[in-house]
Amino acid sequence: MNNCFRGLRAFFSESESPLDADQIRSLAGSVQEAGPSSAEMLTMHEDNIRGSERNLDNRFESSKKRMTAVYRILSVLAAAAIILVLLYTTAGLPSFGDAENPTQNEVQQRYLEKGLEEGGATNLVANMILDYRAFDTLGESNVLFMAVCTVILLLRVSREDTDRRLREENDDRHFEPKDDLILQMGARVLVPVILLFGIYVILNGHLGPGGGFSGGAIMGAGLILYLSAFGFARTERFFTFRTFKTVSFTALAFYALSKAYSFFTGANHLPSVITTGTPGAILSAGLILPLNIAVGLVVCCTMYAFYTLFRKGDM
Amino acid sequence: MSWWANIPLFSIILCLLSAALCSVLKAKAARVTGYTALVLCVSGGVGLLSGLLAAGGSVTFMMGHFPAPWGNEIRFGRLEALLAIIFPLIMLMSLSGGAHRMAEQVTSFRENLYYTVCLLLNAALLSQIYTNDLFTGYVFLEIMTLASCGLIIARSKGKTLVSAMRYMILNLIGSGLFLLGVILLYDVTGHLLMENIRQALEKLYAAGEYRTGLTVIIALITVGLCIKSALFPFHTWVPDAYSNGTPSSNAILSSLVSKGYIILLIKCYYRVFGPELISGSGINSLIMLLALAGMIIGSVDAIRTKQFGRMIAYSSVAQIGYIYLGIALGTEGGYAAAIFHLILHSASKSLLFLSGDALRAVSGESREFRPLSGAGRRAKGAGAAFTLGAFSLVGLPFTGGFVTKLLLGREALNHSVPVTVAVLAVLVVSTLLNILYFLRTVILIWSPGETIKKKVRFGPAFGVSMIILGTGILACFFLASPLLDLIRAGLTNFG
Amino acid sequence: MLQKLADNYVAAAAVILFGIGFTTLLLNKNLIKKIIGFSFMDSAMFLFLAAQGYIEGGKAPILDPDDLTARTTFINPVPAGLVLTGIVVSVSVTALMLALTIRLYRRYHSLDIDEICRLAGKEES
Repeated sequence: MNNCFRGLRAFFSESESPLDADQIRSLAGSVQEAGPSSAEMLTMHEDNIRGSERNLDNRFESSKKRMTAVYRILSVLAAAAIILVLLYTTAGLPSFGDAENPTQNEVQQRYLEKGLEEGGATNLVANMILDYRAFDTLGESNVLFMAVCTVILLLRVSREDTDRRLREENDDRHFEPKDDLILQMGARVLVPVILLFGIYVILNGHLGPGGGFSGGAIMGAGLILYLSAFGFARTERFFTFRTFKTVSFTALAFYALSKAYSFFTGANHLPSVITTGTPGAILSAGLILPLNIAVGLVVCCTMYAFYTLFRKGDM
Repeated sequence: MSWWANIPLFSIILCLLSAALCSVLKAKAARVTGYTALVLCVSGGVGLLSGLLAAGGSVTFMMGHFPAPWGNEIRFGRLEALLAIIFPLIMLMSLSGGAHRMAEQVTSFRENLYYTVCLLLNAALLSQIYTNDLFTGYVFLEIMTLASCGLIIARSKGKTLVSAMRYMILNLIGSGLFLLGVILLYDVTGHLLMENIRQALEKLYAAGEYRTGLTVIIALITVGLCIKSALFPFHTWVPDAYSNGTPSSNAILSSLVSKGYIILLIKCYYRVFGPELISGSGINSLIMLLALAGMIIGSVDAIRTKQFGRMIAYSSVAQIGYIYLGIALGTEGGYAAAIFHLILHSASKSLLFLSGDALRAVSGESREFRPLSGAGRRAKGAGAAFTLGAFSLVGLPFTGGFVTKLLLGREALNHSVPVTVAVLAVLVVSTLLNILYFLRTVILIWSPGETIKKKVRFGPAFGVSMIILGTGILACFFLASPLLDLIRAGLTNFG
Repeated sequence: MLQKLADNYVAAAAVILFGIGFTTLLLNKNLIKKIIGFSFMDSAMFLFLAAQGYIEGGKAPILDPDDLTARTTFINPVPAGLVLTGIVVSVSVTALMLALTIRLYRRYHSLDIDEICRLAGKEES
């Protein structure tokens, strides 16, 4: 067994090499011997694992087993305690649906009564998130951007790494349907409709239900369907990693700059060139429509990027 | 409104913009952008502090056209300005001090994203410092969580993936509890803005309503943020997360990210709940218990571990205990001591991780202690820096750590006898334990060892960051009284 | 207290869901199940938040474009906006966790966190 681990060690010193079947089997065997172990305990004992291996190992395994049981009991108790305490708290909260709740205060009153006049959108929630509380929403779009950056850090395969690229392509060929006639016919009909609907939801975000996030997610779904039906060869003609980078950078930069302008004029009480326009018209509500479009583009690209990165590590 | 009041807005927007820009640039250009943005943030902070020192008080800045409680707003006084200088400065130093490892540990086709992550993290930290709205705090807290995960996995090896996973699991529980606390708070007060919540809570407290509910809310927010800032016993993710990434990542994670959460917690205590509610809920005794236990157990773990990197990581657990002890004392002096130690610890920990990595680099990259023997003689600058950082965390005179211990000890004297005795006893024991493992390491690196190890060049950026961080630690001792005056003055406008 | 709980039935359900998610996150060793538990927790919180904004008989806060002055009872728009933000955060975190899981599975061919930790420990020493 020791030999096997030495082999493994050498094997692992290369970056990102998958284990092969034999090694897994022998490893799994040794794991079963050892019995279940808790993640918490592993760290505590990890420092001590080296040393006179076998002898020490056994002792740790038994203590690990005990700790696993303790850990499980403690987590069940913790969860039960949290549920009970929260239920008790909930029982003391203001009643559901009551118009006299503390949340029915002057804040939401102004959003409802003056939202149209001050923000310009008939969708009063859009006024709230993109005008009154726009700083939160600016942060939120950056959370999404942050997530896509970390996913790229994790999954994107470099162009130089031809080995891994080939392997990923093979995996992809293995798991995904290729040139499936039913899927392709379906996609031909559905994709344009889905994309159009997504655009409608984005452009209509300040007038009715909808907005950048939901519309962007719909458009992203349309792109993903197109990709599943026709494969990377077709999508790479119009959507590559470069497109993704450019679109999301432009949209985010526009978002940050336009909001910086509106925060700056607002805080310094300067006149702003942005007007609310005629309520109910498509070109109204100041920055809300352009911001919805920017958010929609970011979300659409991000959803598509998640899918392609998960599938083969590139776009 | 004076011109300098716009600085916070512009530094946040600058970070967000340059983060987006870095994602489309090549590695080298992204590096320049990143460093420039951070330098601008630091100088912006200096401008803001000088403006506030002249004007005094604090400034409320609307983020948009609508005043509170309808719009978002940020608020800043002298303390916020001070932190807004120190946090970007330490991030800059951590990046430049680890720059020589970047090419080797983060492949160049991903290096630009590393700067994106750092800049977004900086934007989130600044927003955390300035924000006056709990929900904004939550959104940027999530950016911090994701960004720290990004920092860990930037170095691609198996161990970082595992530690990132464990980091995420515990941190998600933390953010979940925090968010639940914020939602409940919104439910009983109807506000998200800190000052309005405070007013509503005072009314509720006077009327005696929702007493248990409020205690539960305080507990949820506290536990959530304690998990995220690794207070004992929620520290199980620390040693892995802090010891496997690149040196810059380790330095940033341990010195800045956990501090961002602590700042938010102090803000919640000071600005949202207020001292009356906090002391009424009894949460302080709980935190004190955990902090005291953490100070001992963190040090014991640091002594027991056989890996150099993990020792530094475990010592963070003990040091976070010191910060929470200051908070738990509940007095203004206690908070001042906590913030002082928070600043000192970010400088010292960053210095320790960076110089520790350099010491390992000249000793054949070993994780163990033994090969480090004589490392200080092979890399004298790094050895000196490590020694200084270690002395500061031990609390020897002429370093900032001495001041912290003095402040905490003196503050404890104002409490009841059992508290005083317990705090003083733990301070003494923890110091002795610190001496044990830090001095052991310092002696090891200066003792004669092999001299024929590989020559490693660190470049001037490393030297500069060592000198600046080291100066900071010394300044915390020699300029302690003006610094403390500034912190105390800032605290008066903080609530 | 039970009467109050029955009044607040949505919040009570949300709290129980939160507890289920929390337990799943803590107890399951399978990473995918942990992620599901996390999604449970988040959805429960959104349910809780959305329930806070509801008013008996209220409509979604969207004005009728033909009659802008009509004032019917609207529900509270604040929780709606917060839920929107929360969903985006939750999507981002889920994506990151899944990506991490993919990398871990490729490397260790297991979804069991204990086994992954164990293999990672072996690989190191």
